[in-house]
Amino acid sequence: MIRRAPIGAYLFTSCFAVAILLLTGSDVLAHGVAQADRSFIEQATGTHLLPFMYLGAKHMVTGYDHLLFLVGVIFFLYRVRDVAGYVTLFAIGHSVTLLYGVLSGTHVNSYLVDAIIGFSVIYKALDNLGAFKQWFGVQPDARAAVLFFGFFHGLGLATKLQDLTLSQDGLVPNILAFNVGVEIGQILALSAILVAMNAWRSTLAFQRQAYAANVALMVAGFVLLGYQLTGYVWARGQTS
Amino acid sequence: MKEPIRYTSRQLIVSTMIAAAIAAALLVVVVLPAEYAIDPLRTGAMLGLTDMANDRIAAEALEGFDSQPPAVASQGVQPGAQIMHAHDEKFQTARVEIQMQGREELEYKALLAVGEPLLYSWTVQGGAVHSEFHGEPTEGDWPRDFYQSYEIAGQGTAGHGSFAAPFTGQHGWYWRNLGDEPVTIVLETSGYYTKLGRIRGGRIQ
Repeated sequence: MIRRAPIGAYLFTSCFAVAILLLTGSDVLAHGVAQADRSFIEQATGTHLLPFMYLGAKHMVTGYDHLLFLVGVIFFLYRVRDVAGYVTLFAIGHSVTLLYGVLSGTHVNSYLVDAIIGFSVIYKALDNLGAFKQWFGVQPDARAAVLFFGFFHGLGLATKLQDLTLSQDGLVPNILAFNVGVEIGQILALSAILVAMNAWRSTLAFQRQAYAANVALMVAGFVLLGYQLTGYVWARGQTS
Repeated sequence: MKEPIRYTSRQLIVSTMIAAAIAAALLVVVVLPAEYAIDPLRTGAMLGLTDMANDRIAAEALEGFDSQPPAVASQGVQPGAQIMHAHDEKFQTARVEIQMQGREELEYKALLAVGEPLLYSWTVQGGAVHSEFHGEPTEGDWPRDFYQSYEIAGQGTAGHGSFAAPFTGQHGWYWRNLGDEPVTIVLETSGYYTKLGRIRGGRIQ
């Protein structure tokens, strides 16, 4: 069945992208840690499980780039079991690189990591539209993609955490607590997204709007990509 | 229902390009001016987004520096000496009129030793300027191109106050004429500075 993309789709797309921009304009930070939280993290020595857990959850719930990707991932997932499966894969990917990155001191350019995260949003939107099957004749394994991009989402946070001066005292339990918080935050955020998605999917207009929504996701992904790549070039200009 | 509807290859390519075009437009018009003060179409200046970016970039550059730089504390200034500064001579006083062309930017600074005061009062005639007060050290061991921003006043037509130099260096204003018409800044200063003037080639002239 072939449908034409309705013109309204592009209008909706623009509105959605503007909403994303408004979100980014507030003190919601992609992968960043809110300014007020920075001093706490830098000053904390010893084990502080609950505060770090809270910060992890807060990061996830307010990290719009993670949320965009997750919206893309669960867009066409209806069964709770499928959702749980994909989310577990994402959590594994995220945890592995977050822990490995911080503990090994691996430092990757955060603009580039965030650009890849922006790309992951575009990828997932195209995947939802069936673009890869249409263009290349193959449907890439969605599970592998979620795990793969999960690695980068974790790497992004690990890099941001290392920009702060973390105390070695109690580092491992604190990072583990932070990671637990990230997963709790992910569950909370996903519950909210799922409720909204289910309400939306039960409407007759969903199939028509699904196309527009994924194009909107793509716009948001392209904005993130351009924003971070420009930041990469710009930051090089600042230091030279 | 569970399978996404199939779209034609052409439709998908067109949609992707439209998405990229919308994103590019948003980036150029809003995001880049607001985030990096990159403003090719001057939309950021029009919407007031570029100032936001400039303020934030300056604030981020300050990160990690306390209002009192560590080098000052380590110089071991006597506690009494920081409050009382006896001098053999009377302080300097000046009144200057600084002409600025439309959209022109310049820096005007005073050379002050650590702890020395500057009293100032400036008013703009004929328009408004963006102003920022900062200083850069002229002696001592500092990172290359180090400067410290003390106050970003943003758009305004006057500024009055006092300043005590946290380190020996040239401290003063960056001004940018925000209009297309020429303006005159009338600056009055008093204090124990040893030089006062416009910055050219990184030094007070």
